[in-house]
Amino acid sequence: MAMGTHIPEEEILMDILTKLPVKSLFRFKCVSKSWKTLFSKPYFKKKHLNHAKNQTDSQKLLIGASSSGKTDFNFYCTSLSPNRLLVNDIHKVFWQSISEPFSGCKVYCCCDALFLIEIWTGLSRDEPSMILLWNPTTSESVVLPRLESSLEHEYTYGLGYDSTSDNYKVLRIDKEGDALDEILALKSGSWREICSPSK
Amino acid sequence: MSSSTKFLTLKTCDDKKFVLDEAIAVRSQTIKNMVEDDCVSNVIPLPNVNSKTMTKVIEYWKKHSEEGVSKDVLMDFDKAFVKVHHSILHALILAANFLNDKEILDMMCQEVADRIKGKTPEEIRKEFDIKNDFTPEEEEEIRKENAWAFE
Repeated sequence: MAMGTHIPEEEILMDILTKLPVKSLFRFKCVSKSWKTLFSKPYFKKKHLNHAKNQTDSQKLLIGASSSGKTDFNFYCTSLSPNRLLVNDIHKVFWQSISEPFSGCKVYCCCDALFLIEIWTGLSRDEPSMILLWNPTTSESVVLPRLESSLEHEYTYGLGYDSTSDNYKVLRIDKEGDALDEILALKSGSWREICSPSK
Repeated sequence: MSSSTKFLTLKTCDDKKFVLDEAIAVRSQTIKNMVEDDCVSNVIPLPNVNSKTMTKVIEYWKKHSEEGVSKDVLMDFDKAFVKVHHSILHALILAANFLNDKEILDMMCQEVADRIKGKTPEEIRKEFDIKNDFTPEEEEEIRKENAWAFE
């Protein structure tokens, strides 16, 4: 460009690229090596997330529906923006399907468009379940390390972002309150027991 | 009231002069800093902005400084404002960057993002003059991994 060298064009390009939808970014990964590297950088992701959070149409509703066939569980997504609240805006969310038998799914909470869900893959809910973190936009998911659990306890889960350590954390609480609570920091990938103030 | 209005003269790179109310001109952080640092003489040179682009910027500044303009009117104004030829869009981004007007910069960058979001990687390379440095095998691999983004 002819405008002199002091214009930080990298910065302008960053400004443009962080305003793109996630789908475009995944497609543009194969534009060049430097673009692919840029999109994987934490500061790029953070800038993209902060922009997306401030958009008026960023709020979405996720609907989970199982059909009577039992093994089929689908998620649908729709925008919550008032001028787009139309039936035809609902689209099916690509779900990396779990081919095993499937007896249930529970959505606990979401944080920055990451969903914490529990899936029972056995024939009944008495069989072990798995806890997943799922990103419906990219259809990526990770199964969290299994925690020892007993059927006598009923657990609930929470997900949050810890800005001091820049880490997402998952908390498991025993609903009756007699077992120790556990917390998992995504970066460390392992659970650790914590004492809650009430015990 | 008119006695308290201060005017600034802006001179673009093609030697055109624009006389502007200081209260409006300080929408540019660059100009604001100059005014606050008291280093404004009679004329503020804008060596990176041409008169055609500056006319557009001032049009935006004036509209957004008007009193009693409803949000809807401003939204319609903004919508029409960004519908410009590629070359003007480009010039406006560089001007907004130089003038340090984050509002215009953000709006124009969003417009570029909206214009390119549906394009293919080939079209993007052409648009940004980027050389494809992947081998065909590498590119195929990335396409496969992200097939959903190409649907």
